Amino acid sequence: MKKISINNFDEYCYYEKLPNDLEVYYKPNDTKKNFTVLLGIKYGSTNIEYKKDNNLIKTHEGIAHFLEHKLFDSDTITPFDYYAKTGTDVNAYTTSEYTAFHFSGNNAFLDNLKYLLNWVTNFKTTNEKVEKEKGIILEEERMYQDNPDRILYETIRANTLNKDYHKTKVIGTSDNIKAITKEELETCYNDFYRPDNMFLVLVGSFDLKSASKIVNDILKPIPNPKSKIKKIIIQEPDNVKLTNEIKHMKNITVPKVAYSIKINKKKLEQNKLPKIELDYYLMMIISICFGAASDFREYLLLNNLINTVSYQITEIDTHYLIDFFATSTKPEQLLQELITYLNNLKIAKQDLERIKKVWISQEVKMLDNNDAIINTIIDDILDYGKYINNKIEIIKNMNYETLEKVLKSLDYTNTSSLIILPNN
Amino acid sequence: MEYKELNLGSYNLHLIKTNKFKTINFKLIFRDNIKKEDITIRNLLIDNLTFSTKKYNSRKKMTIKKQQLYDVDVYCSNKRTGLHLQTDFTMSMLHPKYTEEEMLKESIKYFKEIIFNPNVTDEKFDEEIFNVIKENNRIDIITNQENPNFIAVQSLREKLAKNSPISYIMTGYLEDLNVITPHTLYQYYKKFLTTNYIDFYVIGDFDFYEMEHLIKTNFKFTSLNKEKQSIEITLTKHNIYPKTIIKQSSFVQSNLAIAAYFKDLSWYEKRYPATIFNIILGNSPESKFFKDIREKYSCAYSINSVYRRLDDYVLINAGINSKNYKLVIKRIKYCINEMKKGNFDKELEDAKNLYISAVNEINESSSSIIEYYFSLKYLNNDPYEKQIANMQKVTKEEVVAIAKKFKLDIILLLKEKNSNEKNINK
Repeated sequence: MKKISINNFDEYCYYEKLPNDLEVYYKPNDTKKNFTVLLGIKYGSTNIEYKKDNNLIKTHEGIAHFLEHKLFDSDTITPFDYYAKTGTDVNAYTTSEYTAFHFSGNNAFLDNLKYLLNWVTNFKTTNEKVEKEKGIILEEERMYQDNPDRILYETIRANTLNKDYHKTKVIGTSDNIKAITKEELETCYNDFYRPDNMFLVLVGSFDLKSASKIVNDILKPIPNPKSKIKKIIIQEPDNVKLTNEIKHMKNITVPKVAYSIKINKKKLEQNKLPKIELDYYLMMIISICFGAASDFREYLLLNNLINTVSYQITEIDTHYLIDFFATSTKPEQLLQELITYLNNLKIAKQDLERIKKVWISQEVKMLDNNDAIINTIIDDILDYGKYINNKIEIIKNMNYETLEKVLKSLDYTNTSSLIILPNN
Repeated sequence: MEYKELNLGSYNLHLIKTNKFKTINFKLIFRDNIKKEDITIRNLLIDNLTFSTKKYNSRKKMTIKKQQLYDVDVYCSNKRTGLHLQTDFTMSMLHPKYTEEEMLKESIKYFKEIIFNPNVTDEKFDEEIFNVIKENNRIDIITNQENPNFIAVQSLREKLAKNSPISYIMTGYLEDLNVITPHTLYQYYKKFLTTNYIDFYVIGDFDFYEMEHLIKTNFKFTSLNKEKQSIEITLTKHNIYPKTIIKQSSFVQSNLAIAAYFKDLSWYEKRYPATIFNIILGNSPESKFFKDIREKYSCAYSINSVYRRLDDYVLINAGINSKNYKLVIKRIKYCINEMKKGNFDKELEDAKNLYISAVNEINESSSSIIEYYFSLKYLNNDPYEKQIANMQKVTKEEVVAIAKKFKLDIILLLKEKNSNEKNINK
């Protein structure tokens, strides 16, 4: 087991890789009386196509999410019933990239851990249970259809991408949900819920030695299946699928706007930066140029061009996607202003130094929060293959010259805009 | 953890010393008896106060200052707590040992600036900023109509207790918003500072004497700090048989909102057996509703019940397909009947454990510790050791007695578009 210092504070996490390649991160915290444990599977809604021993397998959209639901089946005691006995919260979720099963509580840590590990590494369902689940998931899907912000996100994603499966909804379409079978779920479970495709993160109040013993006793003997699973890298073209769209929706009262910039990774890799540094510079540019301290945000606010606004960066195999979302009573004017501004981005040196302070502060605050620690470890595992323990050093070393260089390398050729207007 | 309360005349200062967190948190709470006409102007007021100040007279300058203070986090919210309108100003700062020594004083000065130095000239809030915020508040009010859950629950509240605070909409009202001016807002601000009941909580690792001194010297109010009316609402009018209301909507999914009530509960019953009853019925993933309506009948993705103790009713809420409406109502009644029959042996202990676990969780976050001390003083709650002891003693018979006092009052279905009328049976 490896002891890892966090940002050179007197705080440590521990890492071990089991012989079957399952990775485990422990972050014990003596000042806490509660804990959270998350078992993750690198299997999300975008893993629709994959290769198994060189055979191409295509599954239904939404199957990773469906499988997450069906893991809660049990012949004896269900996870909800088990964790209720100790007043422990248990739940699961599916993203584009992974599926997670987690519990949080302040009681019976070791028993809860044992249960989680045995539960997720065993799967049994029936045709009847699969059919019954469809009713629940279809209601969930119908609920999302009434959420305009979700529709905005899903539509701009579908308009930006041609091939990459980030264009699909995590929950899938109703036709796909209806078509999923017990056999298909079992195949996906056996192909993806394997130790070399899983990670475990434990944070909070627990004894490291006892936790590691349980992890090793339960997970170490689980072998990986002999078949080789290869995730498919989708070669997404640079152009967006749809440049502009204006659509109408019945139940919205104020127009909603989305704007997505699609940048090929190869262009940004010309900056010759380690991936984490490139990611930090990209986020820094967006934070400075569009954050609450920017002149542009001030201008938009004072001219009533935005009511709410948010931005995010998403990474797919071949591209970065920079997204802006807003509610605005003047959507066309907002888009025009945004496009003009993007072509004239400038950053002052003092902005960089100020945001560095903010980010450093957030790194310290994060250590008070079990969920924030888990999320940062998961992001690091998925983005960089391991937990990055020196983020403050990376932030401190960011410099203005490199920031300008990355800013200049941004290419706004491929963009997609979307306006959703009220019906009347 | 050490707790100290000081009556400073115009407000109460609560100092909670603990080295458990890397932050120091401040919460300034203003409370008044709620009046419908205060809601909209109070929303506009807090948004103006936190948007800019006299010294930092734009959103940009406010944000830059906040970032210079190592991302000090200041936010404000209005909420209704029973019969009170409560405004919370919260500031969370990194402990100066991680930044610079003077950050404590600097951050408190920033907090003080927000409360006492608004962006006002000639007794008027800055007009340009005022208009921006007013437009944003207008949009907050109208976008409620995008949310089927809001529409269903709000319609239900209006049927349940029209003109009572239960039916008040906390995002405010357009007719009130339209008549507010920068001048009337400033008049309201002056009244706000002098007529509210004020509590100031600070939690973190600090020196008691130093913190008391810093707060006393920076925060001076002229409020009389008279305690307001009782916080709890008592609903007296109920339907003997549940009244059903069906409203048409153009949403994809139907939303079911039900108001229910307990007949004549004691102080003890409200806090303990009724809370347990609600957890078992519909407030946990192993609740009767979850297991029956979601898991067994696949009729909903989520269905839950929330006991609004201060408002004297229980809200049952689910997103459903209207073709299953009749079945869902039948199953809800079945679950309630199971409670009356005492068919919850296994769930009783689990519900107690869930509650106790939640009580034990209080000490794990600054905000929940502040809420706990607030609830001890103003919501008449027991200290947590007593809460745990009392909860452990709750018997099955007590919960059955509560179930027998539980009645459905109003059932409201916000019906989806294209639903088949013939399938809806009242």
